Amino acid sequence: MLKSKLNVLALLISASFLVACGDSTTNIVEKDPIPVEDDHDHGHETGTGRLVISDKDSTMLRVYNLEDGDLLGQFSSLNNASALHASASQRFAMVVQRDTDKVEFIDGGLYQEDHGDHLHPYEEEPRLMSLQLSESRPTHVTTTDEQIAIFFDGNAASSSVAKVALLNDDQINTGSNDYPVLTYSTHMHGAAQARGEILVSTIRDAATASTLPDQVGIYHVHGDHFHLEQEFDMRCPGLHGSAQNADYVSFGCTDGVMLLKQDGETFTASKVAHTTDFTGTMRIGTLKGHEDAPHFIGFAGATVFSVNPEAGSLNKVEWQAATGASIIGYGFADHGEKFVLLDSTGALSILNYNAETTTGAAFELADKVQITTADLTTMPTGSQLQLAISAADDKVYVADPLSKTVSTIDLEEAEVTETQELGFTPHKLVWLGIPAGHDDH
Amino acid sequence: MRRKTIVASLIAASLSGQLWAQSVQGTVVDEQGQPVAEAWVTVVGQNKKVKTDASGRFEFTDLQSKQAELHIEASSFAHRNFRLDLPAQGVQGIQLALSSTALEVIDVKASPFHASSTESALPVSVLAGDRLKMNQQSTLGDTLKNEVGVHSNFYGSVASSPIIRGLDGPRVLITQNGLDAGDASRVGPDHSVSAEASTASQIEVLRGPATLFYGSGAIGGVVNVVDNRIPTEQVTKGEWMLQRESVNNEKLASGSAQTFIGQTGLYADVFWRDNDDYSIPGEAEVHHDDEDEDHDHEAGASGKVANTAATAKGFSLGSSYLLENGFVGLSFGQLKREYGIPGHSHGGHAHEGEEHAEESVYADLKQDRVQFLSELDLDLPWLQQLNSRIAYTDYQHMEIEEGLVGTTFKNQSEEARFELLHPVIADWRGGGSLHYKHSDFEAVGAEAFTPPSSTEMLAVALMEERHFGPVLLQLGARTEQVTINAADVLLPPLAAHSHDDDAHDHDHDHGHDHGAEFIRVFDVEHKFKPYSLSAGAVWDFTEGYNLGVSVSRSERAPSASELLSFGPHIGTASYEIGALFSLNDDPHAEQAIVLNRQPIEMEVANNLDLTFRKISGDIGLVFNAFYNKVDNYYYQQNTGLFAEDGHNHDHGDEEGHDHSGELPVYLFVAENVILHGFESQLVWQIAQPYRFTVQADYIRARLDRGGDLPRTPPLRLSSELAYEGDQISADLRLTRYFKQDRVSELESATAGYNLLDASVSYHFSGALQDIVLYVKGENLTDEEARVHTSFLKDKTPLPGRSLGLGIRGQF
Repeated sequence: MLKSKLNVLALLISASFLVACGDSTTNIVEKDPIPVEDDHDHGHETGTGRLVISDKDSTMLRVYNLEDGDLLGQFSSLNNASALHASASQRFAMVVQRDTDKVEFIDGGLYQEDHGDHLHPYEEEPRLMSLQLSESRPTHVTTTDEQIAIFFDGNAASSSVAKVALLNDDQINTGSNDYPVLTYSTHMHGAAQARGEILVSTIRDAATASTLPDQVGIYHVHGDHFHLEQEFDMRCPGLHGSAQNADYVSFGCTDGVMLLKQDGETFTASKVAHTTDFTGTMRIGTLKGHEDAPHFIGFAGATVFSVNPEAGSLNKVEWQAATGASIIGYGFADHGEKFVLLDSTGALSILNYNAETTTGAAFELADKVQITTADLTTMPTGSQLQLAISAADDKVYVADPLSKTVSTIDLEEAEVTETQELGFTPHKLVWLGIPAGHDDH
Repeated sequence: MRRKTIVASLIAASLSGQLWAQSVQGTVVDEQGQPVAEAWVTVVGQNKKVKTDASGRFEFTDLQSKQAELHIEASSFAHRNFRLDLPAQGVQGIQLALSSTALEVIDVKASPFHASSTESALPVSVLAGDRLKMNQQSTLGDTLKNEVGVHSNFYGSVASSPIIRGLDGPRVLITQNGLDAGDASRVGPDHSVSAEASTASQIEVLRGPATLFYGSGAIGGVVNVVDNRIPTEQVTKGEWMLQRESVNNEKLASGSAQTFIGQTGLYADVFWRDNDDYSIPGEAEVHHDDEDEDHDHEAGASGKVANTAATAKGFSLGSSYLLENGFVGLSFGQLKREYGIPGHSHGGHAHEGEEHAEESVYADLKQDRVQFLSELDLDLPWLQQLNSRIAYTDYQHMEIEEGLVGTTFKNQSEEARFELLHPVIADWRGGGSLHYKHSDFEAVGAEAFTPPSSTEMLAVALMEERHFGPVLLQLGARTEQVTINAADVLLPPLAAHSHDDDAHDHDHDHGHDHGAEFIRVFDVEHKFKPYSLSAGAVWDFTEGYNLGVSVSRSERAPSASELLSFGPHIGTASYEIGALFSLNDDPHAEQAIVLNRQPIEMEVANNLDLTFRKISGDIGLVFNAFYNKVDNYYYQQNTGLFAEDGHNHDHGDEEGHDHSGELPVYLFVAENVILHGFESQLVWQIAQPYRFTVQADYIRARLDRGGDLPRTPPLRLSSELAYEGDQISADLRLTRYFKQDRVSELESATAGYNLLDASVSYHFSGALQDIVLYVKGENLTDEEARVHTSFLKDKTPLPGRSLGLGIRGQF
């Protein structure tokens, strides 16, 4: 009897062996890496990054080491820069020369390479790249972590059509011309947002008088060109300003903010109408987004709005602007946790961004830093204060053409921590370097 | 035979049952028919318990069932179960006979079933009473090292923890009153167990998988330290102890007292112990390369082992409400301990002529523990008894080097276990258990080799037992969900390198030139659903003998430290890397360690345990043999690489090839292993005051693919002659630890040694209490002994000859 019982037990046990598998799961999410500060002197340099500053009075571009303020290199662009933008990985500066139909590139020298199991940082001398883009009126440049979309407006006077070039840092590095280009049949002051193989770009009816587009299309890359895959019926009159985050692309229209929600390959259009905060001809003409920020921020002149795409709401952001102040520099800072606004009175407003906000404005004024007390009305024509935002830490930099200086502002301390003499009149500036992780500041 | 007759006659007499209360009255007798006084008679499954009077009589008047099983336990008798049918008129005048045994039989407290060394399918042993008092040491491992099947991982006497059947660390669960000790001792051998032996009432060892009651961590066994911090009965008693040892000048004072006011039970205990570095017969460190032959063991050869001093103190307070049907109680305990960490000299061999200036390294430990215990006999139709155990533990220890805090370990844990025992159903006894455990573990500092993690476990278990004639069958099943969360698991760039001479082309071709490197950071969540099944049977095949068989299958989720570690661990003198990582397949790659892309498997132990016992008579024998096949056994494999220990010593003027400041890199890998062995204990009551005990245990721990596991206990044989007179008791014990030459790669063999211990106690009454005055001697032959199971084998030998003098009282 005992024996048979044990047999039954043996059977029970052996059966349990068969089902014994796969009861464990592991979920690993890689976060931003922490740079190791080693003992070598140059170790910190990759941490703070570099600045590229253009000269108001010449075609000279200078690259400074933010660690010690040393001038690392200077290059001459073909013409004066109308704008400086950082490339997708923030390794290259794009030197946009709108009036002379040119984009040049400067390698800041700081970058990292994916070595399979780790990102290896490099630190090299800055250099001027061989690649040049020579299309008509390069104007709005938008970037994601991986891609750059340069909108060439075209020129009615010369009958040049608008084009969008979609490129990445590898192509800048290798000087390759095999990037795809979207070619329109007319000119327009448009905007494009890169979403991998998809380009969300504006459409203008050539029959209208305005150079501003009023429609948006989805373009898919096919080799060196694009195919229009979808054209939204929804109109966005007087379209100006665009931004994107993880799920949405937004455009500013005279009657509200048009939103495209991406779900896989499918885009759904909607519009957030103006609220009572909008008076007269007020409209949002500038939008800014961040990959990790669910909200957009939009400017209607000096009035700032928080755009919640999920809720479809527009909420006014109280940033206590001085009378007559206009916004002359802006951007997400401190890894998307803050937003900074530089205005024409020389004040830097630091806003805290709260991604969890569902009602009301997601941006809240935390601090103001007065960069300069000089009389900014004496600023030379065509000059203004310029803002550059570090992606490595919580510093921002403001170039002042009046005092010919660059100031470092610590956003945590909300104060100017350093001011460096330049010896020339700065015009545009951009920060380059290795973006740091979210957790190591 | 007698019992069968009784049962047969009772069955014959039984009529149709009624539902009203039945009574049983009888006498407990010995083999000669003489009454046994002070025997506990328990109605199994009904939580009714009475003690026999001087004439061996006992009586129950309110039994609720038609049948009853009585469990009888009495000192120096084998425990025994009797099954009775209860007719309406009750049972009067039955005689229940016990057989005497030479074996010590004490029930295990932390099991809802009766379990003792003579009755359970799995081997258990209990250290209690005078034997506990004589064996207690400052560490749990050293306290239990003479128990059969248990070895100590001897960490220079400061942090030794028990090894059961060759397993320790996360595989052996240390509990205090049935709940996790909540310390950091499972993470490193240099972390001490936060439980005190001198105030314990008994220490239970469950050998083999005890996962059903305790959770998947207990795949190798459980050590449960029991004290009375929550009183369960209305008694007033107390004990105290003062002791001094010569080898390390240890001074110990401890005491506990329990009383009651009305229905409120009160308890308090306190202890203090303090010791210096201990003395050894030879040199502390073994130099395997015999380069200094002229430097042999003469002048100044004997010495002390640095950093082995310790001082500890603690107290607990408890109170309970004693009810008719059980108790509810709450306690608070605090333990503080400062202890040296030996072997922490960072490879700094003192150069000739230099002072042997050992740096002082010690740990400062503090633990607060709140415990709630309750047992309630509810007598509900579906719930006979509810046992609740809840604990909150706040643990921290700091490792302090030269006055500076190097690393802080913190463990905050909560645990709750509820046992719901149902009334006897078709002769099945048992119930379910609901078990929750949560622990927030954190290590901060230079040697924080494990990232902060939180581990959560929720389990349900079912345990049932039933007698089938002479066979007791025990079945159990448990399923768990274990979640380990760690938000910041680090993969630092590891500048590991091999010390092979022919591998010199690795020299920094592009290694350090780029300056900044990156530590990769991962948010890791592991989920495991381990389950365990076990079946055991104890067959009383003939009077005074039984045979136990236990088969079980247990799964264990690897612990956070086994998975997530990455860093230098001075406690094991190694650079530890968890199983979440693996060696880079590309040997020329700059980064030697990468993320492991293979799934993390659970450890699966399939265990067969056979026990033969001869219980009654002058000779008692217990023989256990076990075969344990563990798949995906996590252990640390030497990678042959070396990494920096994280201490930035300024070694300025060192010549070329000094590897101090470097540690060998050990990686947790899972392999199939087989552990088998035996334990045996023979006790011969030669004549009344003389008892002779022979014990042996042996374990073989090997990899399925060939090769042995490290730090496996050697074969051990011990014999003890004890004299127990009315006033004088004495014992003499000789233990032979044999040579261990079954070693893993890069491990050295360890020579055998003999230890001779003896003690003499004098018992007398005075000042309303029983007092014992004793002397004890350990390692009387002053043998130089190195413990194969110790991480510090080559650095800290066992203490030399020690004489202890003590006095203790009991009232």
